[in-house]
Amino acid sequence: MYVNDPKKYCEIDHTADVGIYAQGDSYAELFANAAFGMRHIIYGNITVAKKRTKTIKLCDSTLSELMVRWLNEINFLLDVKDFLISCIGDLTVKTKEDQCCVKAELYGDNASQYRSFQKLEIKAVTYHKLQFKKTDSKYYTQIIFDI
Amino acid sequence: MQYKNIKIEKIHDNLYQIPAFGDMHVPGRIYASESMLKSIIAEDESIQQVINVAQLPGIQKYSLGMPDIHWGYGFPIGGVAATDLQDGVISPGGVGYDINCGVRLARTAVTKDQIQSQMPKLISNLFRNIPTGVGSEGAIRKLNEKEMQRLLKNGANWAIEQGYGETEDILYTEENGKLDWADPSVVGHRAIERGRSQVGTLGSGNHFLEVDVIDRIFLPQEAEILGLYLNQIVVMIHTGSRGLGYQICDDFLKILGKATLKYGFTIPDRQLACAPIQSQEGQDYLSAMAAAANFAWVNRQVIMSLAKDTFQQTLSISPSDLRFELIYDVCHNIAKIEEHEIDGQIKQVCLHRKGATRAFPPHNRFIPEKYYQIGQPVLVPGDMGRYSFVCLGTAEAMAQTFGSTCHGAGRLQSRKKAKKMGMGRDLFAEMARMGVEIQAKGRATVAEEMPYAYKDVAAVVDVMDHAGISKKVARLKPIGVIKG
Repeated sequence: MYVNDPKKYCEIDHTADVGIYAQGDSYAELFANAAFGMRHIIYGNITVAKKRTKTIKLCDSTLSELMVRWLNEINFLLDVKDFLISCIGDLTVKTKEDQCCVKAELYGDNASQYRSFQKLEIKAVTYHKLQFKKTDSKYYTQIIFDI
Repeated sequence: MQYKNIKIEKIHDNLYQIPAFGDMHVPGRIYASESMLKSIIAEDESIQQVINVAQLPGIQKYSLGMPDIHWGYGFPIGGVAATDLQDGVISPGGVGYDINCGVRLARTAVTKDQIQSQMPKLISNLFRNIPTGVGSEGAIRKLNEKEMQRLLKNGANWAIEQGYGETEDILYTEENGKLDWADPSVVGHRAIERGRSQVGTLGSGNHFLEVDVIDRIFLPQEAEILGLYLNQIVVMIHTGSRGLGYQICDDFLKILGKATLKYGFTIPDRQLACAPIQSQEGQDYLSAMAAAANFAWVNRQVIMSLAKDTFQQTLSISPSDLRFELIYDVCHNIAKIEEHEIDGQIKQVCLHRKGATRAFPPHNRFIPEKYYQIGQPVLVPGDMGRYSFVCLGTAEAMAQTFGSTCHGAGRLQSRKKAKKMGMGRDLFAEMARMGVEIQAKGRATVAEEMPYAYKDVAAVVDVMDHAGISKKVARLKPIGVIKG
């Protein structure tokens, strides 16, 4: 189970928008920390209850495309399905030559319960300056959000 | 002036040119004063983005930057480009995520003196009656899919049919509040889902509703035709297509990303994904984008109607005494098929305006009869403390910028920096000292949007005025603001 760890991501300053820099020991942890980083940008550090679940299965041609899609999916759940993530279970990221897939069980609560903490709205996760990096045994990503 | 290894040529005091080199099909042109251009070069990568846009297949004449240019996704904000309708491309990066983000301005028949004492109550009521901020849901019930299809097809007319506004508002809305080629069937289910509960919502970020007073008139005759006079109260609304537009942009960035490869285009930035305008992918984007534009016009129409009702109730004034009437509504983020003179011939082009305003001249058939002699009204909002401007389009704009001008001030500081600057300060009191009554969902929004976080819009408007692209008519001073 992946839980929010603010030491695993940080906010990037940007004139008009906002971004995050996240890290992980594996692609799965990297995807989880990017999701928590995005939640942090929207809500700050909050504790969210585990009352609902959502299953996500996504595939795309590259890791970059998959990361954008993964975060956009979580943003869509927040925006339309009133679902705010608490923690992430059974998270796997599989990479092949022509396809990358992510599978996860999201645990969370009704986003409307936390409305008073919400600082901003993310229009979309962008491809701008999207980066993946691997050094030693760590994985890093940079993502900019249009807000 | 130098940018990297490139020599930027001075055309005149307010216009600079980047000669075409490498993969650029046309030169880049930036409207700016010398000091402004120096800041633009120092601040971000928007000059590079002008160069990138000049590489789009089928681009005509110039890749243009307005004086409020700043970095954006793909195109810079304040970027204008026309592409050949037959051989050119269309790019969602030339429109932006907030499709048809725009501004409308309504006049009233009341003056500052008449409402000054009631401003706290008025702003409070506007804040209560107009859904603002993140997660805000509409003043209109959540629409079913069939009703959404009608809304997306009919634009502002849909809102009028529902009782939000007057029939003649349509006359004073760019494109009469409806792009005919909108096709809801190409709008994805997710976009519809995101938009269903957001009709009539202001949203967050830099979106606002502002009560302004006219504090300067530059062109008295033109101001009279626009129905503007000193000390008069006017209302400015800035919002767009909300989640529906964001989702359409995102969906089509993916589709056009594949199309870019399919048609063998080499682009310098993933966010400049594009497709031939005449291809299925290009036509589908154009039709979906039009649907989002129609949504945005409905949104602004509904909010204006809510504002009008709130004015009437708060001031206990009859509609005939209030005379809350639309002056004009302009798009800031859009792609449209327009005719422009290129190399002495009239040509149909796909005009991308991203963070730019249409500025058509007098005697143009696309502007309302009332403004036929003076040109199209151009609305340029500034920050929430200083001022905004009403300008008019000119013949020079048609000749030089495909009938386009600037759209606003542009940020000076990041949101994080602005928030840091606001720490430990009573920002509401500071705004009150500036004579602005403000209500917002959160203190953070106010901190991010404080006047010091923005450039001076007067400098931006002056560049376009001096270049003859759009003429200043009146200045508006905010006295009340609601924000998300």
